Amino acid sequence: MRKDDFPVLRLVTITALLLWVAGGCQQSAAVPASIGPFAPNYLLLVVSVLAPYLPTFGSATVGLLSGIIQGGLAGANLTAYGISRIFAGLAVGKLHQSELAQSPLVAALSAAITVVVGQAVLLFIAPTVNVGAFALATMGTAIYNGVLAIPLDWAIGKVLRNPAHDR
Amino acid sequence: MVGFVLLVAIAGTLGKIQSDARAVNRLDPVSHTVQTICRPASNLAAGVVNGLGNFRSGFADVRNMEAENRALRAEVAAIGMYTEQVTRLNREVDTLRQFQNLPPIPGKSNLVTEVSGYFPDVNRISIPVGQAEGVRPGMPVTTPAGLFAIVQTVDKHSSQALLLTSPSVKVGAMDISRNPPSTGFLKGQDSQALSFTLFEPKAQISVGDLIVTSGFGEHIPRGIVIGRVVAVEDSPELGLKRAQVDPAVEIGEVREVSVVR
Repeated sequence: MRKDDFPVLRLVTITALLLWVAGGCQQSAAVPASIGPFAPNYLLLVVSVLAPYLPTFGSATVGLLSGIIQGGLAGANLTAYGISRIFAGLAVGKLHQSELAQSPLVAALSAAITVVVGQAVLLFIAPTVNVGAFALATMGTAIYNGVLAIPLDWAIGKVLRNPAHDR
Repeated sequence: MVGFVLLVAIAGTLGKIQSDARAVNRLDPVSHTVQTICRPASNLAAGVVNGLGNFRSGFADVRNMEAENRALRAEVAAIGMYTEQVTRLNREVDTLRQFQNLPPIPGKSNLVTEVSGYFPDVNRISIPVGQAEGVRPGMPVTTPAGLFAIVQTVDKHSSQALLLTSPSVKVGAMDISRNPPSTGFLKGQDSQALSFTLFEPKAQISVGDLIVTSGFGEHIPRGIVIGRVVAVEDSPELGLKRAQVDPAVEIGEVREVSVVR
């Protein structure tokens, strides 16, 4: 193995590990951790915190994987979840390509944007009857993920240093 | 651009595989793989969440729990006596049916399990019992409060059930506060309410009436509590009578469930 491959390998390993943990938490710890309409979406959180370390296509791919995991666990429509999360990954990937300086505020905002884009595309592909409740839940999740993204982004930053070089 | 089209095509293909599997009430291979891989992480997360929840509630509420424990012991003793009486009466019913040359009523048993995954946004739960444990699509999933979900897809050792509040769920129901009971079907409306459409538009129904399953189906027995009527909508010009039903089960609070086999 070449020395240059190591960061990529580390990134892939951390991505797989985070998606695995997020999948487990999404299944068992999302509802107990919810506060009224504020429920976390751990899989979209992973998409947003990994975006600064990935090219746009990489973010979209992680988005697709998160959609497959969420749809697969819930037995929900894999096409709708897959495509909506591709767009979420694409949006957050584009956001981080604009050379934003990493900060807690940017992490929180990108987590919120990931949720809003992902859920908006999901609503478009798989319309729901009660749009008001869906919008309220989406806003709640965007805020929740925004808060969770701050410590997670800091922790990921400690493990995956030098994002500009990795990109 | 080609890459994104490829990703979208992958998502579309997986969706097609899923739809084909669901058409025969089976879990698709992708969902099966995802669930198998994520199960250890899910069990770990559930363990942590339950442990924290139990510790918090036990610590904060130890006196009430002692009293509740005593009350539950008394209830168990009473249920024991009641079960004995029901068994005796069932035996009498079987004997009378034999005299009438009628076949015995098929028995139903409860398979108690835990909710292993909860997805309120798509009105679904996962349970860690499946085909090997005798679970079949269409079987009701209940809690002590009443009907909670209907099994949709079944794998070897896991199943997914649609919550009663899902618009895709349709259950035969009746209003037992009326004599004779008014019958109809019940459909999920949104995450909070159910819609009960009566077969007979002139049937009487009012707020507070108790709605239970009618038993007009292969898997769902008669008499499982569904909820209470909270509003009645009368449309005589359309020949329709509908009621809004508040589900008896507090969705989101459920941990243990029973599959009625």
